[in-house]
Amino acid sequence: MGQETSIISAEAILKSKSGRSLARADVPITAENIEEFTPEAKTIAEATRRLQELGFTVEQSGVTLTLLGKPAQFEEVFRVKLTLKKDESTGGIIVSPDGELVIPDSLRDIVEKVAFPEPPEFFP
Amino acid sequence: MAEKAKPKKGAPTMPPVVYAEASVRSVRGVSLFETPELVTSDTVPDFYSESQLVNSAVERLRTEGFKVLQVGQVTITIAAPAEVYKRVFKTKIVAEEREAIKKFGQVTTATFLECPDTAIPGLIDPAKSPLADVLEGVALNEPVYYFASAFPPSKAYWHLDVPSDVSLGMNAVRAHRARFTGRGVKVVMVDSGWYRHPFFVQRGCRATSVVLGPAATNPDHDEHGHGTGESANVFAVAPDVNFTMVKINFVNSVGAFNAAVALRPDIISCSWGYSRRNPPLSAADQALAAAVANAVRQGIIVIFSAGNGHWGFPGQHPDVISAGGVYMHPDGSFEATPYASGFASNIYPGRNVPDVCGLVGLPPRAIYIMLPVEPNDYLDQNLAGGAHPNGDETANNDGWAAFSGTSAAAPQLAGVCALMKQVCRRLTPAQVRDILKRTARDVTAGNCHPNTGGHPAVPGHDLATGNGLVDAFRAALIARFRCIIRPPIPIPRPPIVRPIPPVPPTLVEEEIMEEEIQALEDMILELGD
Repeated sequence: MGQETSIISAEAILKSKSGRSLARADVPITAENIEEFTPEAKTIAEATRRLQELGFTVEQSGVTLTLLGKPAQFEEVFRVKLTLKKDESTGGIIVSPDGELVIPDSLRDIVEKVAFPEPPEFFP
Repeated sequence: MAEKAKPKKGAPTMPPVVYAEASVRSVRGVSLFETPELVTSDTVPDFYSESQLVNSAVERLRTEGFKVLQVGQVTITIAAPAEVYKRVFKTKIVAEEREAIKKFGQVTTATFLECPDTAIPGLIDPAKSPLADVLEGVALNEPVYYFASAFPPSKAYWHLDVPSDVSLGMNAVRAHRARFTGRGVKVVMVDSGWYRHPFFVQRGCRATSVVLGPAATNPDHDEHGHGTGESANVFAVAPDVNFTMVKINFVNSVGAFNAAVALRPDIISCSWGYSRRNPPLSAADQALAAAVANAVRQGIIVIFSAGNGHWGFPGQHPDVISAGGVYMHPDGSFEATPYASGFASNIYPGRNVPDVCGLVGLPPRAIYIMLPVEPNDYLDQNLAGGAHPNGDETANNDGWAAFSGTSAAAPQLAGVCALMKQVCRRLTPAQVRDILKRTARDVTAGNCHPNTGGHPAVPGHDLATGNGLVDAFRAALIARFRCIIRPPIPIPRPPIVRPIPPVPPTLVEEEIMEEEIQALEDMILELGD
């Protein structure tokens, strides 16, 4: 299905400029309020630099950062054990951590959370 | 006897696995590979083999290290590394580059495997092997190239063809005649990939190179077929759009969606999602919700499928245009399809799904729209054969497959949005959605998917179809009207000639009230009916 199975991907949620948490938002995130949950440009740049120093590829940035790396890399940096399972319907990889990913001290001031999106399902 | 082709210069490499057809000794004692007769339906029984001999051959091939893939009446399909063939048959296998004609008649070279010990191309003689008593020959497989036609296969069951039937069902034909074709509008789909099928090439569809989402590979191929097929719905409604596919990798949908946003399109169409019935959303879901909100905040129109019995997310996000499904019968009548989702969101209170609908088939598999796919891809194989409605009755390598789902509705709606943006660039995503809802055709029969409540379609807005089936012509017409009448045109007042000191000219900024606009639009729509 066009993927590198040795590489997995996660989204890093950064600290927002308003201080409001995207991961723990108690209101729907919409076009009206997204600005409050958006990090400053300098936070994005700094997080990108530090994550790259830790060996990750930072491929895309929106409100969150897309990280790419090997499972062992994620396990080492975020002190978690990962289970990888192939999703038979899509061929995608479901990444299941055995607990919360621990944000290392070197990132704690700018990265709020790291999460693994599930493979999406097509609706044909 | 066929002559061996001359090898071309190049650096051919031996594939890791070599595939071949092993022929068990024939009942009539004449080898399939040495017969002077033509092998036809009349003569093929002569080349069948005793079942005991076939069973023995299968067992011994496995013992020697071959993988037995298929046991046919005439040959056994086997696979193994080249070294296994060399050891067992005490021969050589070499790789050669030869001239070959690939897709679109392109003359190039391909790697062929050859056994230099025999005169027949690709034949291995098993005479010196321990299998000589059961096998009469082994034919090395040649590379196979599939060719797709720009024309869909003809099938007797009721289905829609692209672009013609989808265009008609969405009432886009009249829009095209009014020159609303999506020209100059940039549409991006985030999906499984995009194959440059003759259907698109021969129609002159404008598509840029595929953009790879995070960790995705093979930009020229769509191994699944979903993206290629569903994209034909965009072109059916808006044939002149500038189209780009972002290939998703089934690993990170958020990153792929953000890759689409980074292209700064007018419209993003997504025919995928997750089933999320109740809160709370996970952190990864929140990241996706934020990506969607961020796109809409930038003025990008985002369309998501409502789901096929799923509680579609982000199809229920408040900022997206949520695409549901309506089935069009051969007589042109419509009903809500029980294949498509319809529900009131528990995650976003007050949010009803869908907003409006596109054309979607019926259960069990919504085999409804004949769509172009990469020959021999997942969908081409998976939907092939059978009898409608359980199979699409096409070949598994013809580059056509019949499917739909709310996956088809989203790109149809994207096409309509493109027509609207062509005629009125400044429409916001919310305005576009409002116009789609106001101009949709009410659907009053049928029910949505039972998983999401099986709500009935009734006169007016309902949970089965939202505001009904989108009407491309009416929506584009109102969009055009908005751009003609909406700007508050400053009227310069001429200087007043009076015997008083001159005053600087002032502007009258009497904005037309929203209610007045809507009343005028209603009059236009009524005239159109």
